Amino acid sequence: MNPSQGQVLSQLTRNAIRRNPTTAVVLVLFVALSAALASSAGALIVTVTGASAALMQRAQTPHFLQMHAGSVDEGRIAAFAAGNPLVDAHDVVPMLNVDSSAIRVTGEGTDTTLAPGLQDDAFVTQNEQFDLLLDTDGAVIDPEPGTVWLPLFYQQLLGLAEGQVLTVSGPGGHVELAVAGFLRDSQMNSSYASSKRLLVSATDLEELTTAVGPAGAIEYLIQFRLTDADAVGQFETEYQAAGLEANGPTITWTLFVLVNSLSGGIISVIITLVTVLLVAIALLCVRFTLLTTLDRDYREIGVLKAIGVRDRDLRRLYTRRYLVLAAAGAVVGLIGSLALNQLLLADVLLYFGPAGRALPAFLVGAGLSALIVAVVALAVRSTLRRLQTVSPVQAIRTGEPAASASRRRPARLLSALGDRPGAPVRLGLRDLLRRPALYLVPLVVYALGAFILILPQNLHTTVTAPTFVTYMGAGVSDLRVDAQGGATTGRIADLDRDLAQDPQVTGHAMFTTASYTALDADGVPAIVKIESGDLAAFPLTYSEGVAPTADTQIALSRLQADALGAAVGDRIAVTPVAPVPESSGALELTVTGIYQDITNGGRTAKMVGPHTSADLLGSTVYADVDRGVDVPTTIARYAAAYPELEVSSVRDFVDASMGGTIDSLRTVAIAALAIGFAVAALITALFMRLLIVRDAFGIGVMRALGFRDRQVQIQYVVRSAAVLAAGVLVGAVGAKVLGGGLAGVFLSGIGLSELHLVADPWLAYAASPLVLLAVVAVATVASTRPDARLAISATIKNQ
Amino acid sequence: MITTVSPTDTGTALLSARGLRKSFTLDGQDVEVLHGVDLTIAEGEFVTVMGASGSGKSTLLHSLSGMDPVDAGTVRLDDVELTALSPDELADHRREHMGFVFQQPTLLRDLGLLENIVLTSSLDRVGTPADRVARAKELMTRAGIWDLRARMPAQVSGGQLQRAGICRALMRRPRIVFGDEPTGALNRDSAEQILALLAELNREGTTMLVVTHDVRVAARADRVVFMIDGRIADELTLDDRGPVAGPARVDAVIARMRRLGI
Repeated sequence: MNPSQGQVLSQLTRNAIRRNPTTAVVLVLFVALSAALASSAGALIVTVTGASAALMQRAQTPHFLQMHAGSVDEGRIAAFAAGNPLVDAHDVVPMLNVDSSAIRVTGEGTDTTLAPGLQDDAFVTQNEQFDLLLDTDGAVIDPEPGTVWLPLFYQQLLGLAEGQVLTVSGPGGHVELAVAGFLRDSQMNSSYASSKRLLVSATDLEELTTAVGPAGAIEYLIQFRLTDADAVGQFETEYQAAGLEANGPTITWTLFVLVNSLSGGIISVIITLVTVLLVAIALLCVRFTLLTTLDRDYREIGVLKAIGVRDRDLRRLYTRRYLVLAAAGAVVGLIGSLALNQLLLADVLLYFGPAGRALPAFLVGAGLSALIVAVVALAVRSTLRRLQTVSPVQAIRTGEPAASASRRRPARLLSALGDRPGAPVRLGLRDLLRRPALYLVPLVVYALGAFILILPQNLHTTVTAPTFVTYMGAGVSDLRVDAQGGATTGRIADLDRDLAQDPQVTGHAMFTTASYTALDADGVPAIVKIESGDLAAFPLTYSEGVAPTADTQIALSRLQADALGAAVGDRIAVTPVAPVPESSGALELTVTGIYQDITNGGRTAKMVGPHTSADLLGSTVYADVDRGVDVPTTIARYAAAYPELEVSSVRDFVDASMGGTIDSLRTVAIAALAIGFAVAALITALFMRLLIVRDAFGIGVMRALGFRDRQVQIQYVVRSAAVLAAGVLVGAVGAKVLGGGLAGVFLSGIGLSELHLVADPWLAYAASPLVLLAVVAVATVASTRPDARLAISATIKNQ
Repeated sequence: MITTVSPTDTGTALLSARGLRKSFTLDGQDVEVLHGVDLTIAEGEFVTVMGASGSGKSTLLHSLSGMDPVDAGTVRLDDVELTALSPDELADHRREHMGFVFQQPTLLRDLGLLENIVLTSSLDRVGTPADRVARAKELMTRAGIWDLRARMPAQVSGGQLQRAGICRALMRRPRIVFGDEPTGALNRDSAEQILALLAELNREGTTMLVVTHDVRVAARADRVVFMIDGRIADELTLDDRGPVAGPARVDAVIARMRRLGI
């Protein structure tokens, strides 16, 4: 090439972009979206790690924490701390554990317990030296008597506000506290930490302890700040060797860092997945446009090669225009990510405070955007390898690649159809069969679209189905009555008697829950809450094994089994927290079954034998009414007769515990629907525009021969509809086969690893695909409408 | 013997154009390519249009066949005013009553030769599939390409492609066949074969309008129309048509071209 090669390249690049502005815009759009999301994901990780480090610095998060249920010898711990050179400071903090359903928040438009958070809640006072609870300005909180500071987690989850009233009721009384604000807890901020701390003044903590009585267990946080954070491992060994209090989990600085980064991390992972999808679409778009261009320029390329232009120069010619577009997209995306960051980082800012890492976050974003441009460049290079296969002789002779063999097959396949579908339909189908590789791009996109459309829908259907309660450690029943603690035992007995005598009630069963301890997988004692009663009356679904039938048997929830390292057939020993006077105390039980449960942090257990623990946490009664009896009326009747008990339907129970999750699932399902439709419409429009450019010659010929525009369009609608049908099939099968497992991966943390997805067949497999079909058909017709200004002769001549 | 006659003197008018005007936009300026052309073609006539590049002869063909809309003027085929039809009606009319042979092979790359030839008949389901194949076989046998019926366009020579194009044009027994430099891309032998085929078809009654640069092609016609700068400058009627263009006919065309300065 001559010395003004750069100018020639620029000129060619400009002309190529001008000639096909739609493709250019779409490519820029997808690269911009990918770059924006990738940059934001990067910024999120940088900011979350920075902000959580800043928060942990300000709050003076402990380096080592030992949780302990039971009594504490503070003197011994102080002596150990004084004698250990690694210890900078230490503290023993009592926490008052209160069942989340016993904590109610009321105010304008709000009346809820904390149960929907699926957390263990504990009241604490402010620490003096370290592990400080901070307000949203980063200041250390000193709570006024009569007030409570709640975790931000609850503000976000339940939409709580300052000035609302928090009420805790128990056998020993009733405490009301005004919500003074919301706190940042460097240990338990994240929804992935299964406990939350509620901050009150010392006098209020005493009142609360009296009110909740024996139902509230005091647990201690024995925590240490070390002189060297890296020596945590060594310190842990020394602590254990000293034989100090250790009835509970041990948590180190590293885990706090991890848990704090997790929420940002998971959002980043999701964004990264979406980004990968977008980059894939951008790459497919590049590849398709490039192949189309090479097809169209086949003769020119042949001529250029014939006169001696090297492959390398040709590659540069084609690479440049895509690089320019991808770079433009990346810049647009990077600027867009700055706006997106405001949205994504709002939560981080709220939970952790400022990170002070704006520049590194931007640089990471810029790096990731550059990476996307590099990936596009690589895709272009690899597609351009086919330049080598262009034969100058063939190109000049026919202007197109030599015909491949095996082109007769589709004709034979279609001849079976006969004359019936009409020439346009046959031509459409024929094209699909003849060049299936071409339609792989929209097929994959449609399959993904159908998948992301159907999966959240099925998840929502599953969670709102009546059988979902079996994932909450309960059988399906018409009526459910909950009673906290042991104080209402008398009333429960009355209820038991009333239900037995009620002719409308066909069956009922009563269960009581008490706490025990058992050695977990690491040999550390852990609390196990066991429910006891007639498990055959309202049977659970067991993912492994069967229900216990003898007094020596027990069933465990999935997370409880994991925590104890127990499998079906293992024997476990449980020790009552407070033994019933005449009982033998410890129980040796064989695990007969494992079930899924998301209540109580996913850790529950069930047996049929009587309790040997006097530490009664609560009772639950299930009942079924006769067919024809109105369930809501019956519920209302019992609710009126037993105001101190919580009488509800199973649906109410699921809603109360899962309401937030169900709402977010609905939002996700609707968003997925919109995204699925938008992506399908966009890709169809893009693909059809590209196809029209590619097929311009054939279309021109058909129009010259007297094909009506509609008869040409039908061919394209047939193609997109057929590809869509195949895509939806793949997507639906994918959602069916992989959906449960995929949901399990995300939900195993709350105790649902084996979710059996229930689909509403009409919605998932008829209505949604039909709407998708309509969207695609409209997009096809709109994007294949022939340009009236474009004369037929011009289309044919330009080839 | 060679004489010049006015277009309306010959037989029944099949195609007639009055006052055709057509402009294109070039570099932002409107350039008129046809300046009010009048032309009548009689049933069964073979008319060729000659002229220098840019004289408007292809534009005239596109306008007469309804492929390009005109800015002013009328075109009638039989009793139907083509210029008053909607795009869809025009498409129907082209499919049913017109045949086209282009300079470059315009077969669809993704269909075999036979499928290309029966395409518009299949679209309208003219007869049974067997009828259509029978008609195509008849034409393809005459054109000497029946053995190639299963080949794809990229697998045959230019001359064979053009013969397939002619078969496609004749498949539905059109009232008129339009040819745009039908031998322009062919070698001499292939061109001769194509010309012979066209002449034979014309003798059997097919009306033809062919745009060409080639004197030998023009000399086959009943009448040659000469275009200069978007106007019909002159016409030449050749009445002793033969299977091979006689030297006298070729000489007459060349002489008239010289006189017109083409």
